[in-house]
Amino acid sequence: MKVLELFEEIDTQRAKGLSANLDRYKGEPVILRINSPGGSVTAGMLMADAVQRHGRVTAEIVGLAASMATVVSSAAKETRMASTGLFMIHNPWMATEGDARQLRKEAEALEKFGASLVTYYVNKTRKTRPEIQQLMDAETWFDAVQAKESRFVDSIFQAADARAAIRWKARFPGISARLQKGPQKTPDQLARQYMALPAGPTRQEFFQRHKTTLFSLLSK
Amino acid sequence: MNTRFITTAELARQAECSVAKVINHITEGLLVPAGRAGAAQNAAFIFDERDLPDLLKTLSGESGAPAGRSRQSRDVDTVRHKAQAFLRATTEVQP
Repeated sequence: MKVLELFEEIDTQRAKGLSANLDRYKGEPVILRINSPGGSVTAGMLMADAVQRHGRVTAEIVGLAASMATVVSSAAKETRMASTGLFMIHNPWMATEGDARQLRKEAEALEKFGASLVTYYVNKTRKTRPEIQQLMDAETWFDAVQAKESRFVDSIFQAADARAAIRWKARFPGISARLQKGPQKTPDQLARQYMALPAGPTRQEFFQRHKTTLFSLLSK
Repeated sequence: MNTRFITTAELARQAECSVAKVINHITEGLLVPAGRAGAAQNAAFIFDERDLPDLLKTLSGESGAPAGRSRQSRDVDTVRHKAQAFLRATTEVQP
């Protein structure tokens, strides 16, 4: 099971990264851990589309899922939430400047984005569009129990598990970067890569980094 | 924007009154929280720190007018501040 993380503000760069990773793990089940205050609407839509397109993503909200992060979690096949987590939905918002025509254009675009977000929530919760719109207009915060009752999440897991996930990340900070780089290579692939390297510090460094895997080949 | 939010217990400490009094004022519509998490009776409430002078006046009885107002998050930092306050508030209501 591949584990990806969305532990920051949503922006275009991160959306592209997540989309590329999900394409790489096509057909495989993926857990997407979320602790994000949201961010860019367009980037969030890109993430949500990638999650939906993948089709085998389980979203795990381990802290906060707010604004666009909730659209991403709602696009997942299954959504789980830590018992102490928080979930918030609201209308998209933007700061802009320009003449009357430009402002009207921006407002229309924002309304269209808002309608798309509602669709994600409606598909997830089976609530009506007006019901969802009302929750968004009021900027509604949910604890885990209420998020489940409102069907934004499918199940709740104990916060201790979420804390363990965060501690695990803190103990092994490299794991996130490794996941960003793509799937792990097989021992054979690593051995071939090692043999192809010229003798020298690069090869030694490669060996040090992958010695456990390379030794496992020798012991076969 | 650098909006800060305070919890019910933090407001009660500032007003030198009980948490129950703050909750009663919310129930009576005299205090309007900036947000609440969940619909349960012990739901976590938060208040915008900018409303603090008015909130304190209402709690002390100096003013009979409702104080505080619901505030929408307009940026990621405000969302973060609200979430932090909600998490502190959740800790307060859980023994």
